[in-house]
Amino acid sequence: MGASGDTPERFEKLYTMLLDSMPASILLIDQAYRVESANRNFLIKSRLSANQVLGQPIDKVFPLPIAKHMNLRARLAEVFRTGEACKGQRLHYRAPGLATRTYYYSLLPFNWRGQVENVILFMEDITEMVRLGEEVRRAEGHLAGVVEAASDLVVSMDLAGRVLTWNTAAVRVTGYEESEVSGRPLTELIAESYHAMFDEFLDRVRQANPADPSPSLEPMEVELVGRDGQLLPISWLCSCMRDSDGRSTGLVAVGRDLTERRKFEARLMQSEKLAALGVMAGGIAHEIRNPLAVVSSAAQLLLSGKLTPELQQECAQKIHSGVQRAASVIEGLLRFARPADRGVKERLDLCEVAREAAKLTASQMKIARAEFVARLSESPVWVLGNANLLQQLLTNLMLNAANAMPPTGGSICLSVTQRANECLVQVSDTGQGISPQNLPRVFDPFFTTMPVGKGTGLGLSICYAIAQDHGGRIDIASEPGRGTTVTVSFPAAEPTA
Amino acid sequence: MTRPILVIDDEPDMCWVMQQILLCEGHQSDAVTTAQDALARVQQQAYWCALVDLKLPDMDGRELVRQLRAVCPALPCVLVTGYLYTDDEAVQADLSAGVIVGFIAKPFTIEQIRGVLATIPTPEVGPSSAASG
Repeated sequence: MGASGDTPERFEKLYTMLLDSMPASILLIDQAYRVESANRNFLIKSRLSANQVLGQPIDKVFPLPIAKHMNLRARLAEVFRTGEACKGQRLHYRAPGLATRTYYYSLLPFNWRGQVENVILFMEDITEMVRLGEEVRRAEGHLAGVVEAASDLVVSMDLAGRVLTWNTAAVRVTGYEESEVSGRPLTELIAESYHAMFDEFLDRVRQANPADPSPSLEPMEVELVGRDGQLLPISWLCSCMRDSDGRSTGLVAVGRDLTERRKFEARLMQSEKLAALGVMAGGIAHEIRNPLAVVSSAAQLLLSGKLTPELQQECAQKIHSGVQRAASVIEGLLRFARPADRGVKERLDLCEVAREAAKLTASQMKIARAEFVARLSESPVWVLGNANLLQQLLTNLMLNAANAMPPTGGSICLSVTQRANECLVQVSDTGQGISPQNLPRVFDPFFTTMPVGKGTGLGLSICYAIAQDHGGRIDIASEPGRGTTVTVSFPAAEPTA
Repeated sequence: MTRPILVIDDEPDMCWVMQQILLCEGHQSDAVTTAQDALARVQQQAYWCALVDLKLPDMDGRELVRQLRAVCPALPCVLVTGYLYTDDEAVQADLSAGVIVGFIAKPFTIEQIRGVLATIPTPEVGPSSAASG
């Protein structure tokens, strides 16, 4: 400013240029509420000429309704009186022939020697900003609507696993309001047995490589604990949220409540089990009638009164052991028929399960003329499982093997072994085998090559579900005419502390 | 002196009670637990009749009856099983074809055994003619 040759004209030119280059409308108003100067932006926006503005009372420059709405006179008077700025007011202004625009205006006092000489009316056109803001809000509202209307749980979390958003379905399923869980680690709502798995999963998300477009986050089943303390089986599909550099910033988890499906599956499993019982009914009848025949014959012999004391003794023993045999068949049957409580898992010995299944299917093996061999590990093979479900799994596999026997019979081998952390159950038969085109379909529900009424076609798909439920998997190798080997592998149970 | 009865059942206990009953009824008997043993036996010894269990480890009882009769066409066979009822189609077919002369469902009474045996003619006493070939 202190350059030589400073003249009032130079200042005026600089002042005008500064004002005109501003992308905002600026009016300088004097104490008589007249416009002392107006910048180019104002003249363009208002479609007025300098003559129509300069020296005019402010009420004339703005259409009356607007000036009134703004309460301009009173506000100006206030600024002149107090010397304090009046900031952040919003104004809608529509110049003749133009669309309404939205302005954000302030009144700034110009103090000179202790007196407010002028007030600057500063108006910023925020029409576009408002429009963009509304658009963003609309898009956000739409997205929020989609998330809210989803019947699946939609939960977003930061990298520490703390809940950021929690949709209506999540509230409905868990009973927790968003305000109760927001900011809390999701782990607090996860059933304890899944904590390690979930933490390991979060680690993987945190370490996800930015170059990898979608790190493999396979669906996983994690149970939440609802507000009422109930365990809620939920199948989760997670994806990473990324920033513009591709770094993970958090994750979105979409969860499907499996409670209803579980109930349905349980009913299906139970009906399939009853169907298996139907298949076994003949064999079971035989299995019970044989000891009954021994018992009844021995009793009749005793009644005849013709026996020596030694023979009487022997008859009584036959009766005793026959009754025990029939009772154990019935007990096995009842245990098998009982509906499984799928949630209950305990440490159990797979060899024990295999022995039970072998006993239950013994008569079926005989009917199929199968030579049955059990090769069970000498030491217990511990898994974490549900005895009832595992027995259903093994019984199904054994019945399938018996079914595959040709009329001339064959052999069936059931083996239980442990290899490191893997527990294996294998059922191999020398039966008719499965054709290569049918092999990929054997786990499909209702797929069967048996005549109508002979098989439900659900056996293997239920075996599959049970194996999955235990963190295991089933592999089938088969050669038509030679036989089939089904291998089920389970993770070994942690050693007891 | 009548010929003995052959009892074929895979369960030793079943064989034991059956033999005791037959003994009380005044019949001698032999017992075997497999079809192979039964086929071998009938070639060494002439039997009055055979009581055959339906489910044997090495052969279906109905099939065994056919094979027994192929060896000894005159051997009357009675099917004894807990697996079928008297009105079963297969049982009825074998009865009417004369493949079996009787059917006994397990569990049975001594009277039922006595009743079935009563329908089987007593063979002529004399040297066996069954063990031919």
